[in-house]
Amino acid sequence: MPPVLDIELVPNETAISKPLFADDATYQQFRESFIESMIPELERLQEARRKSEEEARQRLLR
Amino acid sequence: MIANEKGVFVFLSFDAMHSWDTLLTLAAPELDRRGLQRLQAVLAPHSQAVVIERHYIDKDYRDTFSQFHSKRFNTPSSRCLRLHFFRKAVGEDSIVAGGDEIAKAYLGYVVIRPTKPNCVGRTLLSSAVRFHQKAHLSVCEESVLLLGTRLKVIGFPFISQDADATVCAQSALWMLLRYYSTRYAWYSEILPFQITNLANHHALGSRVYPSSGLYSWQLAEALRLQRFAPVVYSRNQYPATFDHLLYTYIESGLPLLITVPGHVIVGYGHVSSYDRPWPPGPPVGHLYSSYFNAAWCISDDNKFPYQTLRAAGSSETVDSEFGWPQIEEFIVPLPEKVFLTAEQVQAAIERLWQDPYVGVTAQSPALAERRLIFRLYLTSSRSFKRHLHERGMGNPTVETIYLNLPMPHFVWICEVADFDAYAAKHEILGEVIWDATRNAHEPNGWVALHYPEKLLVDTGSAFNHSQQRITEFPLEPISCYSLFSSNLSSL
Repeated sequence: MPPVLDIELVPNETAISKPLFADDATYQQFRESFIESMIPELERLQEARRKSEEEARQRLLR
Repeated sequence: MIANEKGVFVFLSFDAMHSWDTLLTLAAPELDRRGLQRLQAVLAPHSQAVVIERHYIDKDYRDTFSQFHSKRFNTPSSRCLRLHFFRKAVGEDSIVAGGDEIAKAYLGYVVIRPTKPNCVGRTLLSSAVRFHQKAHLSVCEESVLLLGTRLKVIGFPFISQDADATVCAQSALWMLLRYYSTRYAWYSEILPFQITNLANHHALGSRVYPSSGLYSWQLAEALRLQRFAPVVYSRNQYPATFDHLLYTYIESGLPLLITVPGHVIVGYGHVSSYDRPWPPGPPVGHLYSSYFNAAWCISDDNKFPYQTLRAAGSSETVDSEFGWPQIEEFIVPLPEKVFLTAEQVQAAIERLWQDPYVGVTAQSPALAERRLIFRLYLTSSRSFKRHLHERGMGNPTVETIYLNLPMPHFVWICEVADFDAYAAKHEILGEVIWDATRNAHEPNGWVALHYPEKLLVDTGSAFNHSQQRITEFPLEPISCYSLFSSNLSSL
């Protein structure tokens, strides 16, 4: 299998940039805490959407 | 002055002898006093002349005539008048000759239908007749042929209800859908009775016409049948963010339906006052650009094109009688490839901004101590990339990376600006780019995070890898740059 080509966004990318996360464990920590902290707000927004659609069934426009 | 009074094209210039009442006489019986008053309200300050085009066959009126009016015992004419308005006196010779002068003088057209009580049919008037320089609008362009000369008009389509085949719900849908089909080839043109018939699929035992109105969910369903992915927002369910979310979609260049008690209107722009000071309270932090919004630009089919809907309502003729608290709901016709809604992406960006790893305190501590404006909007990555070079993006590396970075068709952008620089010069310091095809539970939905001194890019997602690979590019030198302004037109 041919090696995956490491495409550069700018010439000499590796020299002028660096990975943000030093290791995979730190990245996973960021990822998991992000997902977990978002859940309550997203559930609240989902409920607001459901109730909005319910109210739209009652609103007659002429 | 009147010229060619008995011809197909009549030329009327307003002067000491000929007023708007002369137009009423020349355009009778199709044009009535009520219709004239509507035209005067929007056109009187600008128009010095009108060309009356008799025996005009209008595709939209002919559609409702064929499907509804022709079935009545006493049938109205199948033909209309079309009125072309000009800033200055014109004659047949000057129109036939064409050229820049006549093109600049053209203000657009109004079709006058033989329907009562509302005779104002398909209308496209230049938005410059009504809004001043602080208005930001979604507009489309149409080419009009008059006496063999092609004239251009840029504005937002308008039509009034005929109170039989169409009421406010169908008229508002027509205005919205005609805008999209005129501006984007992806959406097909739809005629008024076809809109009425969209309700056939979900009439649930009610007759379709004469119409007694539609429920707002039926409007959303009609939009779905026209290739949109509509979302409904009720003020009751978003008490703190409703007006801001409405602003965000309008700022995204997405005209939408706004419902007030028993009635629906179309919203497609805003008028902002950038002289509002930073509010009392925390001395630093961020506000959204909706803070500057003073009014919506709307069209109400019961009135005339181009009204402003102010926060507290207004008694001015040119303004809507409604105020913001009376807006009960809005329906956004999202493009089908936008899976992430405004409130979801806002929640995700707020979380990201505070994140201990990638947030502002960790990555740009100086920015965390400033008064900031966030400006959230949706755009196509194609449009975003098209304007990168002229904007400069604060650093050439940012421009190069964005130009080369694979992006989804639609992206949410949250621009970050210094409060004073934004208000005075519309300049910004950075932005967050978020993939609009993601769901809100995915932390790797962001494409790039541009702080003044560094750019964080998710090259993993950009190249379709299963995991993020976040790369940091230091930026030097740093400069402010202009905000993205291509979603809406400014006058």
